[in-house]
Amino acid sequence: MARTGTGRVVRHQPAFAGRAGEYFGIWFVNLLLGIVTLGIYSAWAKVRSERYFYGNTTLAGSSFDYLADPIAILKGRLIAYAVVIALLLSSKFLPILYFALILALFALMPLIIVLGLRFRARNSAWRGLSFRFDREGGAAYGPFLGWQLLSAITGTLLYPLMKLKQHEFVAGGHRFGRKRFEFAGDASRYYPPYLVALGIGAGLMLAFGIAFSAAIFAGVHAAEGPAAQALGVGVVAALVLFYAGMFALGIFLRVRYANLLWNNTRLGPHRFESSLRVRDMMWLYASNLVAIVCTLGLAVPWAMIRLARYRAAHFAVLADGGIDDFVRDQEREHAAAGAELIDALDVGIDLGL
Amino acid sequence: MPLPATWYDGESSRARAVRLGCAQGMLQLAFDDAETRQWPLESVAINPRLGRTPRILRLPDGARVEVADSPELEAWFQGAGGRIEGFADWLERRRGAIIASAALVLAATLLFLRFGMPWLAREVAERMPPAIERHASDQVVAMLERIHFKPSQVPAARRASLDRRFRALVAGEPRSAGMRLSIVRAPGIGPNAFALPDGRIFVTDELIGLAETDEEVLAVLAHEAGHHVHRHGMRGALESSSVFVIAGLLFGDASGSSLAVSIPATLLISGFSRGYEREADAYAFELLLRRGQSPKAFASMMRRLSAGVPKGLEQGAVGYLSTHPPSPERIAAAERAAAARR
Repeated sequence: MARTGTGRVVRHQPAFAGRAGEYFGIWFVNLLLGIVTLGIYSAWAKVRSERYFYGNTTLAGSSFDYLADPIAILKGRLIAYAVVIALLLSSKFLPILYFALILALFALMPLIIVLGLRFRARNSAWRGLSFRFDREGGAAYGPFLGWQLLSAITGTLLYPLMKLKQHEFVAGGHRFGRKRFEFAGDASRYYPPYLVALGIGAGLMLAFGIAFSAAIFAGVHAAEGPAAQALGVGVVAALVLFYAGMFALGIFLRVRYANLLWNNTRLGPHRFESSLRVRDMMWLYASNLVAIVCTLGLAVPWAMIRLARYRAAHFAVLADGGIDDFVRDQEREHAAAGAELIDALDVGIDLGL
Repeated sequence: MPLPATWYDGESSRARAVRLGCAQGMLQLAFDDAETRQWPLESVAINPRLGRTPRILRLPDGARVEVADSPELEAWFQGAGGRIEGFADWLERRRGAIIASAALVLAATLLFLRFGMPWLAREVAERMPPAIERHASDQVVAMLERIHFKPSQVPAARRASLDRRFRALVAGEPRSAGMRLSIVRAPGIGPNAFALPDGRIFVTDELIGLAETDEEVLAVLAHEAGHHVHRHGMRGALESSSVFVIAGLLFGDASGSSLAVSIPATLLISGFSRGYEREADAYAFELLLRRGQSPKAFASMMRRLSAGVPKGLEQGAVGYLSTHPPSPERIAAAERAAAARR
């Protein structure tokens, strides 16, 4: 398969050296300074958090470096907060403005995604060389609007193809130095996870529908006594199971598609290996959730560290030949607003190293 | 004492081992092949210290040096890396400061949610122009009219008498000028009553049908008037928005899932809303007593309303998640208020 490689493949696995105890301090100092400065420090906090995770991740003996300027992030953050506050307030008081804002955001979303990808890539470095994302904003309208609409119209039947196109756009738009990432996935691999999720999801809906109507029916006939008590518990249990099922299905699809993204991507002769396991990730997310809720958020740093550690342990670069011959490319500047808006609206694209 | 480090030329991904030293204000690089280079310390930029992450030196020719953090670097580059991050680093290395930060963040968050935000919401709600209250209410009414509302089938005479008695009940109360009563049939909603932010109060035929006396209907309307007097519509809207903003700020990129954020936020919002219901109940009991009516009517109405609901739904987990306090508690409060008069 190797095109320009030597055929001698070396497996480089990233090592993550972050520690929960240390990050606990960084996290809470970040929050405290953020509160004291009424949120202004949050831009510096963001840079310190990112730098902590980048700097503690080493690949082939060299750590990653996050280069973003806090001032650029602060500007982006202010814009993003203004948009979010306008959305929240208008949703309650001025539905017409809210509708217009949502429409505008929807229309601009592909552009915002591209700006975010550019910002993140440009500010990520390894061995003194930056990454780049160089697709134009207009090019994102196909995968992130056109295909999204097609998927919606067909009742998500084209969802795997949409994911494929998006991965093609995102992976293929990145460069490291002068070398471009290449993506070659195909639908035959993108459909199986979707069909499994669709099947389980449909079964879940059906079971929930039956359980719920049975509960309602029983409730009409048992207004008193222990039967009625059990009914209340039953309704809650059904709801909890339903949400847990949906949560698990979401993780299942995300994990499978993250693996597909990396396993179909190459950088010159080098390939990648992502071996995240669905049940491990479900356990990680579920136990993180319980720990965070039970400790009123004190466990957040611990949760972030163990997720990063797991991700690093299940990723590898299969380098064909040397990794010393990447060459620098010329630099360009882009604003940070896109990256921040993506964070604030929670549509971040998870490439998860 | 030279520090082992890695040098990158900034042009390629090649890594070379190098040793770092410092003498007379010059940073000295010694390569494995005996080549040496040196730069004035002030021409070298270093990234701020952060935990045990490696330090990156940026040399004037675009080359980078990666070196494990060590005390020597602090001695060579005093105060470099910025004052803001230097102060953060100073705090992050002190156990006491960390524990104090965690405690202060938790306390500040809880205090703000408990006192700051309700206060802020009340202040903002009081300054909200009536046009916005009206506009927000119009939207709700337009939606309800399309889906649920049908013309009332309660005899016109009884409607007129209820309207008259309601106006007498709230006459002279704060914000009573905006209160207007509408009676509608709403089979999809069932027996219910609600107040909109601009003072429109809706009560369904189904509730009037369930009530045995007009006093029972009026007791419910007094409760809805309480929502309007205390501006619960606006305050609730403001509070529920800001809970999500705050939860997002604290946990946003932390948990890997929005579920961790939405569960506590939902619990908090229904907690606020239960507080509003209690406040509206208390207002209603007090108003009824002032008008010489007994809150007992409220208790009997609640009893009749909750009779149709399976008991299991009122108690335990569901009761806790609900936006209304459990009916038995509200009935008991009404009876206590009625008994206190004597």
